[in-house]
Formats: sequence, structure tokens, C-alpha cells
Amino acid sequence: MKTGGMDESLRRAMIAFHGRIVASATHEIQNHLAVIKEYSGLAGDLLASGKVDAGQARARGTEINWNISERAFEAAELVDMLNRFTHRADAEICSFDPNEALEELVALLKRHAGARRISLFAQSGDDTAPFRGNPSLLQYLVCSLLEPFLCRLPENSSVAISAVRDEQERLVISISADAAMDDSLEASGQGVPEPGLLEYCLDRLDCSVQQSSTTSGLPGMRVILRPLTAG
Amino acid sequence: MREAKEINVLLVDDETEFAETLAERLRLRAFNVTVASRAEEALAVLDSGTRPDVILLDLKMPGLDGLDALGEIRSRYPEVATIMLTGHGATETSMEGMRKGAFDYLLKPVDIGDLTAKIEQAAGKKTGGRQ
Repeated sequence: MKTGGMDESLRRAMIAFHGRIVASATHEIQNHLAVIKEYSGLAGDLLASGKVDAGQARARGTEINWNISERAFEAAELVDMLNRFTHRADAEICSFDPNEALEELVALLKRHAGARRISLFAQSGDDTAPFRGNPSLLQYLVCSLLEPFLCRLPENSSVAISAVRDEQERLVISISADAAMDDSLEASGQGVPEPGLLEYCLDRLDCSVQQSSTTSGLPGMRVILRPLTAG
Repeated sequence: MREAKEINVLLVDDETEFAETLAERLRLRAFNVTVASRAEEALAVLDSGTRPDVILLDLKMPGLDGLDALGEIRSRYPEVATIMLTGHGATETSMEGMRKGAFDYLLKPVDIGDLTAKIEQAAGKKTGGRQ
């Protein structure tokens, strides 16, 4: 396919990617709101029922209030992540904190991974120095590379994602699993990019992917990116 | 219309805090409520011989999802009425559920008054399929 065609494919894939993330996050936010609504309703029900004495009402009210504030906090955190994520596309090339970009991606993908009963973690490093590149495209790439893990790992396994800088100032993103993948399973679904698109994306980001595995043979991969020069 | 205290409800939702809180609110209204956090668990409850009058079924769950579970319930236990609980933006899925024989569907967050009215209606008919 010509570059123009791949650009168009990538643009469509990016829109679809953003749509999936926003749909998943808003669903999760709605879950938090539904729980808050039920707690609030329960507090009203208990007061109206007259079935609890003052001491019980105080204890239960404190518990319900605590649960509501926990849920409100989680919902607010998710809203913050979603807001940051959607603003990543404001500038194609910019300086950004890779750990932050991965942290928000992981937070927003947890529900998707959880649906397959797989836990997702971002292992943040201390290095918060900005990296120059295309954060939105990088998030799409990481999500695309992650999809085969989610399709092929067994239930109750986990995947960790981390970012470090090497001695050449390249960004090295590691994706590692704690269980063996079942290669007989097909990686399919909306998150799997069409043929050629991943390679085109790697090219656009000027990066390479290396398959890696731990000493115990568990699967993983490393994405290595060079910083883009200013201008 | 049957009294709430005679109506057995099986509430199936992987969001356990939501399910337990809603169950408590329904119990305060005298419904007999059992909670399952997975569709597989709900089917096991039915397989054990327990027959709720109404199942409240979340459509989006890990493992066996709500629509597949609905198909199983309708084919194996057609006498049990199922009300789907869905998120906004899931109209197509809700319609698919209605085609599979759900009694009705409600959008989350649910209004407790609407929900209890729907449960009583479903328990009164228990025919499956919207009347």
C-alpha cells in the first residue's frame, strides 16, 4: 500500500482506538456513578425505614459515606486519565513524560484486560525527563502490541509495562507477562491492527520491537524509540 | 400482582458493590434476593434446583457474557423471567437480548421504583418475552 493509503488507514485506526478507549472509560465511570447512586439510595432507604437505631444509623452512615467518597475518588481519577489521554492528540509531536503516558494508557485499558481476567500494571520508574515524540501514536502502538498478550494469556495472569531510558537516550518500553502464552489462540478483535499497519506505525515512530523473554521463558517484548529531533 | 415478599430475585452482576447495595435496597422492600457475580455462577444456582422468579442480568461481564447467559437461561429455564441491566449506548445489545427472550431491560443507573415495578410485573407474568 502507498504511504498515503497507510496514512489514511492509520488515521482510521487511531480514531477507532480513541473511540474504544473513551467508550470503555465512560462505561467504567458510569459503573462508579451507579454504585454511588445505590449507596445514596440505600442511605435514604435506611433512614426512611426506621429499622435502624441511632447507633446503627451512625455506623452504617459512616460506612456508606466512606464507600461513596472512595467511588467518587476513583471516578474522578478515571476522568483525569481520560482527559489527559484525549489531550495527547493536541500536538502530533511534543515533549512528554513517557511514564505518565503509559500510566494513563494502563489505567484506561484495565477494564478491557479485566474482561479477559488479566491484570495490567504500569511500573513507573523515577525517570520523568521529557521525551520528544508522538505520545498518541505511541499509546496506539503499545495498545496494539498488547492485544496479542490479552488474547493469548490464560486467565488470572498479569502483564507489566514499564519505560526506561537507555545510555543512548532511547526510550525502552518493556511489556512482560507472568505466564506463558497459548500460541494456538488467534489474536483477533478490534484492537488488532490490519496487516502492515503495525510496521508502518513503527516506521513513523522511528522505533523497533524486539521479542524478549525472561530466564524462565515467559513472554515479553521491548519497544525501542529514538527521540525525535526538534523542529 | 404478587407481594414483593413472595418474589425471589437472582441478581447477576460482576460489579459486586453495585449488586450487594442494590440487593440490600430490594431486601428492604421485602424481595428475596440472591447475588451472583458471574453468569457461570448464576447458571450453577439454577442448575442446583433453585428457581428464582426473576433474574436481573448485567449484560457486560467477564467470562460468559450476559447475552450468552441469557440464551442459556431461556433455553434451559424458560419459566424464569429475565430483566437485563445495561449501560447507556448498548441499545443494540439490549434489542438482541429482547430478541433472545428477555422480559425487558433497564438502563443503569436504575431507578429503584422502576426496577421494583418491573420485577413485580415480570414475576406476575413469568412468560418470557415482552408482553
